[in-house]
Amino acid sequence: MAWVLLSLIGSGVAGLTTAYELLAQESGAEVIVLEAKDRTGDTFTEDQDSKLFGSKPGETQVVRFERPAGDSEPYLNAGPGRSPSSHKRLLGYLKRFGVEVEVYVMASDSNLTQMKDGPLGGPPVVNRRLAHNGIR
Amino acid sequence: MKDSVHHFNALVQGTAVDGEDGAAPCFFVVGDQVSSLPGWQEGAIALALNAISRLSRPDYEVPFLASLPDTRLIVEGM
Repeated sequence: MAWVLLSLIGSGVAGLTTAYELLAQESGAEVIVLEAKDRTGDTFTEDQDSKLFGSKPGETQVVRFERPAGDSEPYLNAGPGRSPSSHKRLLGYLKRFGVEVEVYVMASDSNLTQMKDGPLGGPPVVNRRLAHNGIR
Repeated sequence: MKDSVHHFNALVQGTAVDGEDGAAPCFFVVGDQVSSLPGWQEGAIALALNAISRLSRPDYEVPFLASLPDTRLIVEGM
């Protein structure tokens, strides 16, 4: 490699990926990451303790949860969500770095579909029936 | 729209210090916003890896996209 110093502006996903690969590939480059905020990762964050998380610069959003008796501990995962299985690069890094992930069910065959009028007018129908049996 | 595709394909190749064609690129704009997957971390990673690839092998170009996603349509819907 011909360069000795490489500076990255911003420590979001793209900046950190670039920095990591430059170092992991032993390119010989010296890497400096510049970040305006007081933490790295940008959208990669979470608020397990239901405390605070940054919003727009200069603003802070306060998240408070009511906890019904007997319910499990609520929390807000303020990090990225809905990472599909086709995003192999992202999932590869998550696996490599041992990042804990949780399953997020967007839709289920057991979800109910109901229309006010038309072929699905009437009682709700489970999606698996719509998919496999059609409408009668 | 045609110009935006051309601009994108030129942008992802990176820019040289003097801006001359043929010189090895060393400035890159990376992030999901300039990827083919805006709004997704996968897009940010893909652009970062593109930049690494161009730094390492500037003789290989990042494949050109024939069209770009319509971000207005993605955000606002039909």
